[in-house]
Amino acid sequence: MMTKSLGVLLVSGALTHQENYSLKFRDDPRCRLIGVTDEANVDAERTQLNQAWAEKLDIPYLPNLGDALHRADVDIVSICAEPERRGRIAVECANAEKHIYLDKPVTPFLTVADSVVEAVQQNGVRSQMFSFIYQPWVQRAKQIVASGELGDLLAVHADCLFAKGPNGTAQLGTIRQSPYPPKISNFVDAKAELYAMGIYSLGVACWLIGHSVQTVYGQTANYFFEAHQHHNVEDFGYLMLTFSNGATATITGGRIGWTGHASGGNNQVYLIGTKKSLLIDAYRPRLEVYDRAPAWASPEVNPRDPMGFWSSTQAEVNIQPKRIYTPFMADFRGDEQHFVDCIVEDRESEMNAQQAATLTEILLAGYQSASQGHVVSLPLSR
Amino acid sequence: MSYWESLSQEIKKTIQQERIGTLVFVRGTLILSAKAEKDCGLVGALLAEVSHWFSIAPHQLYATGQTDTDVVSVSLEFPTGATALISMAFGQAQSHIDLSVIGNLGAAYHRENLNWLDEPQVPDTLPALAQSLAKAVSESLTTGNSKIIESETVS
Repeated sequence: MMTKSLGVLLVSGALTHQENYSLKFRDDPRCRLIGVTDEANVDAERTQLNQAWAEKLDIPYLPNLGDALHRADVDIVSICAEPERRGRIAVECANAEKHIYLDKPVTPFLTVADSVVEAVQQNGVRSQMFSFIYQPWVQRAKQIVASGELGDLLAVHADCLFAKGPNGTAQLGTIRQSPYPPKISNFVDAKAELYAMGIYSLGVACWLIGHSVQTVYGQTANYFFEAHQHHNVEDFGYLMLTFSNGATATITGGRIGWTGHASGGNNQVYLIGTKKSLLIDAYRPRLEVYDRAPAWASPEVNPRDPMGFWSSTQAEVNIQPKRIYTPFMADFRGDEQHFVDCIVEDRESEMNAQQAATLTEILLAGYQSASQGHVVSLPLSR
Repeated sequence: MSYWESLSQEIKKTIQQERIGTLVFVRGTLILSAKAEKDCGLVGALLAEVSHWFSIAPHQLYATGQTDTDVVSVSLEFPTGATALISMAFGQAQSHIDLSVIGNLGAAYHRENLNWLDEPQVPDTLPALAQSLAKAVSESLTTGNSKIIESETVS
């Protein structure tokens, strides 16, 4: 039985997913928050956002990550730095013998992903990247696959298309020239969405199939947002995968705009088996409720976050939830709680640094395929 | 009018009325009791129908799966930059269809169990585009590579 609470250090604060993760750690009785920190050389804006989040949580702001990692009361580091910095910070934290909880994806750089895996293994720490695999609907899918009810799993088709952002501004009519390596950065108004959203459906498909990916075919596009086009990052993409056991998968990932779905977006997985096939939808089982409330309307655009990436900026424009679908969420446990379970019970997360690095490699192969127009085999050359 | 003709007509009408803006992507999952044919005739016919929704023939296609395991997924890429990702499973105990028809301004969704509806049939005479797509799917499955579609028009 655990008596010591786990100290959680937060890397980066406001306008990152730390706005979600830190609250889950705070609410877990096995944890206590130590402070918000970051690399010592971050710019003034990031410093101000980090300080603001520390203030909001009423915890100290620790301006130097290196110093903060020397603290004996830090057990876990929750890392939400921008994609380009995330991997190297993960290495630093693992080398300081701290367990690492990672925003997704872990890094856009293959060699950095390998370094994270190496650091985690060498230091014997636990690691987990945020994903959908611990959500109840995906857990249910895994149970059904494991039961053998479907027979052998022949194919998985998973979607993660977020219905957020002011769609309808992209210039249509041409085939996107996908750059390789891809441009992965968090702009105020755009992210590479195959990377940011596709990681969820990709993670689900790979975890359910449980074998290594052999080939990847990818497509990226700009269908919805001028901002993504302006920054030359895709708002939409898909991958087609073949696995070492002969199974196949298709995944989509993207941001289709506020008006594209009755709820949060298309979030589902098809399992095709030799005996039976099955659809599992994140919004089922559910109640559909129709009432006298005014019809949902797209929110006012917040110039600090036009796409609705972050909780705090969505609250600033008083965004209302879409309320028609009411999925049953009684057994929902946060992804962060599963990570704490792994630490407390001394076991490996099923979305650890190794798996996260594998997903990075598949995504990069997808971008390479989209750029070159042909199928890419794994592993990628280092 | 069959269920499939009605479905396609409603989708075309929704697109023509510009309720979802410009059609940019179709995600389709079709789980059918029908057995897959080696010549991919039904696959070609279904892909040709999807191409009609875009009002243009695809210029490139890539397929994964194996007809002997009755699972095929196809990427259709159109000269306008629009795409479709259609997955089919044949020889299944229960039939089901799931379509996400996504435009730049909105989306139309259709999901049905087909136990009370008719399944799609291969037409007696396969139209030219369907033939061309069926051939391209077969070749992509055999070679493991994407395939440029010979010039075809949607009639």
